[in-house]
Amino acid sequence: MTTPFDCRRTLDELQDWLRREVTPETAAAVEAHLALCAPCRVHQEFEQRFQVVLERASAQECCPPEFRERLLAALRREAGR
Amino acid sequence: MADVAVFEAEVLPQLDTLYRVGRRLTGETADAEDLVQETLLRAWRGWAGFTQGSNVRAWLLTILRNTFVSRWRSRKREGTSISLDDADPHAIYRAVGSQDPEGHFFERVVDTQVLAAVEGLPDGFREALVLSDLEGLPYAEVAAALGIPVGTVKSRLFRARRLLQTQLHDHAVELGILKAKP
Repeated sequence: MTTPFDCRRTLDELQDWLRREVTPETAAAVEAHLALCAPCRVHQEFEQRFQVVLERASAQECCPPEFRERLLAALRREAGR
Repeated sequence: MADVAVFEAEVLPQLDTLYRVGRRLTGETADAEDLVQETLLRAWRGWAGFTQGSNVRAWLLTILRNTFVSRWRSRKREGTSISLDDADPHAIYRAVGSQDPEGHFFERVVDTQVLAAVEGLPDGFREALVLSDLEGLPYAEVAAALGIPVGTVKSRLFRARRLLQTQLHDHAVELGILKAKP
C-alpha cells in the first residue's frame, strides 16, 4: 500500500498519468485521489481537454496520395539501381 | 526486387505518421515531402541493418529526425531560448481560473491555429511534443528517436506543454473566447 497522494503530488503526476506513463501503483494512487477530490478532477478535465485537442489537430492530416505515388516511384528507381 | 516489396509492406503503413511529423518539424509542405522522401531512401539503403520484428516506426522516426537535424535544422532558426525553469506548471490553469476551469476554450481554437502554435515552438521542445502528444509515442520511443534520456524528454514535454497552453490561452483571449487576466 502506497502513501495516499495529496493534491500537489496528484497534479505532479497528472500529465504522465493521462498518457499512461506511470506505474500501476502511481496510477492507483492518482485515481484514488481524483475519486475523492473534486477540484483535482476539474484540473484533470482541463489537462485532458488540452491533450485531446492536440491529438485531434494532428490526426486529421495524412500523406497526400499524389506525394505517395511520387515517393513510391523514387523508391523503386533507387531499388532498381 | 522481392526485397523492396517487403520494405514497402513494413514502411508504408507508417507514411502518414512520417508525413505529419515531417510537416510539424519543417513547418512547410514542400520541405516535409523532401524530408520524408530522403528518410525513406535512407531507410531503404539501411534496410539490411534493420532487425526484422523490431519497432519499425521508432526506427523510421529516428532516421527522419536525424535527417531533419543534418539537412534542415541547421538552416532554420534555432529555437529562441526560453527560461521556464521555475515556471509554475499550472500557471494557465490558474490564469483561466473560474472563467473556464474545465478548459473548454482549447476546443474552440481551430486545428490550424493549434498546429501553427506547435510549429512555433523551439526545435527541441517541438520534436518531443510532436512525437509524444501529437503522435502518441511512449516516452521511451521518443527518447530513442531523439537520442536523449527519458528524463530529458519529460522535462522538454513539461516546458513544451506549458508554452503551448500559454499560446492557446493568449489566442483565445485575442478571439474574445476568454477574458484577459486582470
